[in-house]
Amino acid sequence: MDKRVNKMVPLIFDLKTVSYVGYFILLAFAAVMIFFLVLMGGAATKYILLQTTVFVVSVVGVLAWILTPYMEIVQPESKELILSLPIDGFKYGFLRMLRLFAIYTGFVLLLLYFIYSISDGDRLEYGIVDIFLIAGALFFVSGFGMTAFLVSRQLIIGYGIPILWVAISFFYRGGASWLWHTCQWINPKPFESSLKYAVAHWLTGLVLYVVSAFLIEQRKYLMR
Amino acid sequence: MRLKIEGLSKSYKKKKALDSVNLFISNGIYGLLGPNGAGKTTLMRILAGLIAPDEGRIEFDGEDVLKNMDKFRYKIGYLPQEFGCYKSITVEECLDTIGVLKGIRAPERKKQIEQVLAEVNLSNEAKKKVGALSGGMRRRLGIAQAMLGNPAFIMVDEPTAGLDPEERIRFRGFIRRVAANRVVLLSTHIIEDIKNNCDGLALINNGKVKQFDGFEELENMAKGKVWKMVINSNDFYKIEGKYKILSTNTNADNNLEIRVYSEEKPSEDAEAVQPTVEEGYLTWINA
Repeated sequence: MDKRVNKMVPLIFDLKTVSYVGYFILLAFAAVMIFFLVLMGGAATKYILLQTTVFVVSVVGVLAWILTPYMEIVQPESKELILSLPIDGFKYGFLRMLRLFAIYTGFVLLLLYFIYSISDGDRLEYGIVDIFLIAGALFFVSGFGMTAFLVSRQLIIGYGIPILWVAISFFYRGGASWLWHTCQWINPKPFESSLKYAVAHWLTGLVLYVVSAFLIEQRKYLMR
Repeated sequence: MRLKIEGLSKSYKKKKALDSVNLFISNGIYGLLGPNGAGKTTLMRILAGLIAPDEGRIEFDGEDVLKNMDKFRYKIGYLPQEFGCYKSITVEECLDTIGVLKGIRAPERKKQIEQVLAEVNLSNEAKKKVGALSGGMRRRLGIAQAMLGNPAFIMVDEPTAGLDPEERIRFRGFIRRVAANRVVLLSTHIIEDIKNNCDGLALINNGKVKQFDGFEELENMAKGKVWKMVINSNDFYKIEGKYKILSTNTNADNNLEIRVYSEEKPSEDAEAVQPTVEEGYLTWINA
């Protein structure tokens, strides 16, 4: 048999399979920007509110960007074919998720940087640790969503559980979230170092990405 | 190339989906015929590494498939019963992605995509979105993707479902061309597909499989049990209640020429006839 190279799926494929859901999030960002920058002109806290809202939308958005291209492996009309192919968890799962995460998070960080750069002092911090914290939060949420999605084989669970987690983190200000206070950037626990939350999110996110890659190879489980 | 299945069993809770299946298939097209729910799809899914058997052994060219499934996947081309993926991308992109996942290198992939698209008559649809294809076209795309990577073993589950007569004929020609130097397992409940395509066949019902050496052997299962009778059309309801009617035709005298299945001669003027594959199949299924 000839030597086969199992490569990553083409980027264009992923950008198309993100589908309307993924691009709707970008529209949501645009709507948020217009609302705060045009309609709320003059409000003193508008930049903080804008950054907070963009962060919250981005948390939901990262789920859309990561989960949608993988819907085929749980849908009855497509999973049989996909799972019969020689896909490997590392490239089809881990690296591909990482690529989608990187594209999306890069966009979110640029957007937040733009807001930061036009703000005039009424703003959230945006230093190295903050960037690390924001990206870490998105990394954790995407891994959490993907794991929940693959374990349950239900898209709604993949969205629902991480969104619930983020809501608890936000409303309880990290009270029931331990080291995984995903909203530390927008609603921080007082007198706490953001770095430890960032590290916890990155490390747990990494574990969840590895778990997702492992689950993608569990064909018999996914076929149930 | 040879595929050998020995003592393969699979149960879902208390229902036996496969019951000690033995099958030996070599190069050519092999038909697996059985009613819906007979166990065809379960067998296909086990061969595709999607579900695990409870017991049994599968060998392909002497290699233990169940122990080397990761390697074996590269040798399979599989068209499942349901094929509806990647609706938001074009036909060409769909095949390209599947080609990538099958591990086909770029220049070879492009060549193969052009070739299979031409074979299934979808070259003009290459730039169309998969979601915009008709049912028959999508089925042809399914067949095309199964061909990518030049697999040694092709499995097609109900391949002609949703195809119109012309597409069916085209499919037969296509599958015949690709069957050279390969093992093709074609699962269907349509007897025509088997009769017109296959070099060998096996019947499956309630998880049990019987392999036949040829169509004649299957036809002979009904030998002496198929009768031709000519009756008045008004008497049809009487016969219908008594015997299993296999076919009916109205003759020139406006009488009905019927073929019935019966262990004994149904009437004085009934004439024993050579059974067809379909009649052999019905005999085995109802045995």
